[in-house]
Amino acid sequence: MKKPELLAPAGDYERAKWAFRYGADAVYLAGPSFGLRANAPNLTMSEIKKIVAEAHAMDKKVYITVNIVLHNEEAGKLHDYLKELDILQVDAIIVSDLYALQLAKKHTNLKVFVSTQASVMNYTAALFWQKLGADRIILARELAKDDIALIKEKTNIELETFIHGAMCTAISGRCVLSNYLTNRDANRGGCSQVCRWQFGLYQGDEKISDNFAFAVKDLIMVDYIKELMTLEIDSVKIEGRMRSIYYLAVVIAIYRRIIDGYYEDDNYQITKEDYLRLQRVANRLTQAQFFASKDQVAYHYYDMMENSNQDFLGVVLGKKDGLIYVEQRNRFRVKDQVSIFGPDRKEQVYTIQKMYDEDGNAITVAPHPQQKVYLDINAIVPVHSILQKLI
Amino acid sequence: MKLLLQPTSYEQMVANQAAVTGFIAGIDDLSVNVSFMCSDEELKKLMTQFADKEFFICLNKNYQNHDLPVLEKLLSKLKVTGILFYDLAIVHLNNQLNLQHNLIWHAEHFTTSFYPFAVLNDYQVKGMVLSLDMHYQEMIKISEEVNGITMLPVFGYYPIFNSIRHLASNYFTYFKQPKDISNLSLAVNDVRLPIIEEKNNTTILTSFLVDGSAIIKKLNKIDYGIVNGYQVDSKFLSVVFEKLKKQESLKGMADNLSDEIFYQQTTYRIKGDRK
Repeated sequence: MKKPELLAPAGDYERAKWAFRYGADAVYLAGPSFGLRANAPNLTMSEIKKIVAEAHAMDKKVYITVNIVLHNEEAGKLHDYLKELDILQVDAIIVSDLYALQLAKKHTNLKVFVSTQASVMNYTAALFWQKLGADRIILARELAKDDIALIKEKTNIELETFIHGAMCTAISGRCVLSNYLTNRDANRGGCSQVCRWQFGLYQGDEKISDNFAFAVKDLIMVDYIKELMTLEIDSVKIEGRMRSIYYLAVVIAIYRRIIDGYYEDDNYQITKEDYLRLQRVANRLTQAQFFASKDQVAYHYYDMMENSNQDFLGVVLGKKDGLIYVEQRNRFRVKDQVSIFGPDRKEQVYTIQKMYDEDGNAITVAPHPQQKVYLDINAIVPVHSILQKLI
Repeated sequence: MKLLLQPTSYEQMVANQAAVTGFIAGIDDLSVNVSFMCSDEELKKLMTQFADKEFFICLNKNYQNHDLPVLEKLLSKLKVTGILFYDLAIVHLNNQLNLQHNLIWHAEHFTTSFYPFAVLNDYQVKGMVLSLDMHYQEMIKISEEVNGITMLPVFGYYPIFNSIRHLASNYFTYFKQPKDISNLSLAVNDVRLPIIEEKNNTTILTSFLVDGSAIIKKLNKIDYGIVNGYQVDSKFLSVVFEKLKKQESLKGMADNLSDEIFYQQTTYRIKGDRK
């Protein structure tokens, strides 16, 4: 059984730090150019420099997405950008374009990973990328367990697979609905998630549905981590460079616990709380989909209901005189029981005994987003711990 | 520019054979969104019948492991003018098995630059089908740079979405509706997008027939124009060929023609300017 790298998304510098804090072995993020999440803040080159240095000091890694589909005008600018990333000593770049791979291999020391955007679904295509010099393939999200096993068996290249987060309904790279319906180029960072819309459906000239949909549930691989470890997958990846710090902390911490748990004990048991948290954290239904089942109907998200919850209550910013200093995210009040978890600790339940505003006045409720309060919970928890509702 | 027809039927091939240099067909189980599919045996017969025509095979599926033995077998015995491919497995097999096929890179939305083609060119790939996801001036530039065969879809519906999921059947099953997946279209923003479910995938097409007739003159460095006969009336199709050959505009001759796609410039945008 191999202990895979736990790879997490980072939409900006702060989120990269949160990802590491909560147990990611590596983060992937976009720099100022060529990444596929144009609406995420992304990182400047100086932020990349900083996060790479911090990551390496912790023996962790930073990968940069360079995975847009290049047009001639961008391709001409790519050389200098890759050289800069090489100087910053990023650990790898993620590409979907053959030219980006070739350029990096010819002119830099960068490792190159093949993006899931390239939709590698078979071992022969994987062998071709391997021949071109790729160091890792991020597999297509439509693969069953047996497919992954065979690709592993037939190739000699690192394999990475997604374990949690949003899925494309289309084959990655083969959808430009966004271009045609919202004028945002999906393959150049502008995907507007048209696949989550509802449509009218016609058969000939007859309307047969007002709410035709084909969105799919989010991916969740919590039940199959042990199998992926047995398959000796090199890296398991969480999707979501646009996600919040709460999402990152919850998802990373739980998968960290599960990977470490199985590595140490073959009979590790995933807790009910961890299942529940993973299912609630994105407010969307989840399913393992292609890896475990051929029942395509069950993959879909037909009800379109995203059950919003207010689980995320606040972040611990510090401590003072036996109190914890908290920034609010959702309303809580004195006498509430809250669950607190931190970078190195599982959830523990505390009761808010007393609460004070920043001027030291006793208050009973924290109703305002980003309101800063002091809490007496009869304990001190580390900075960057997270308060959440009990479930 | 030579013209190729991606037909929907044998009859369409017969009716338009005088106007075209050749045909594009798909192979059962190995192609997606190709209206005219055949077995390799049927293909041989067609090639004999249309002996003076070029035959290209469109192998544009994303292959899974279980497809590979069938694919390898086909490639080993296939003798056609060229193979339009999506999955890089085909390049690898062509090289490994020393097959010498004329491979034409047809990765739909990825063929927006000359540079990756140059990489593939080192691995015996002889040409590329240009994507429509770029301005026509970019197409001109690529056609000037490519040291090989260039092709461009110049008429017909164009795929804008492809999934290996059965999107219509899944929906009908879930809502317990009759599973008739024929002649479906999505309605959004006052337009209708044809949605085609096949055995291995679902494709969504543009709401309009791409019409390159008015711009074809400017794209004269491109070797082949591809005409997709899907849902095009047979009489009108012959007009299409006539106009394309004369490089005259089809404007106003049908309701849902559009050449806007050739003038759209997508840009790479990032939030703010954070360099």
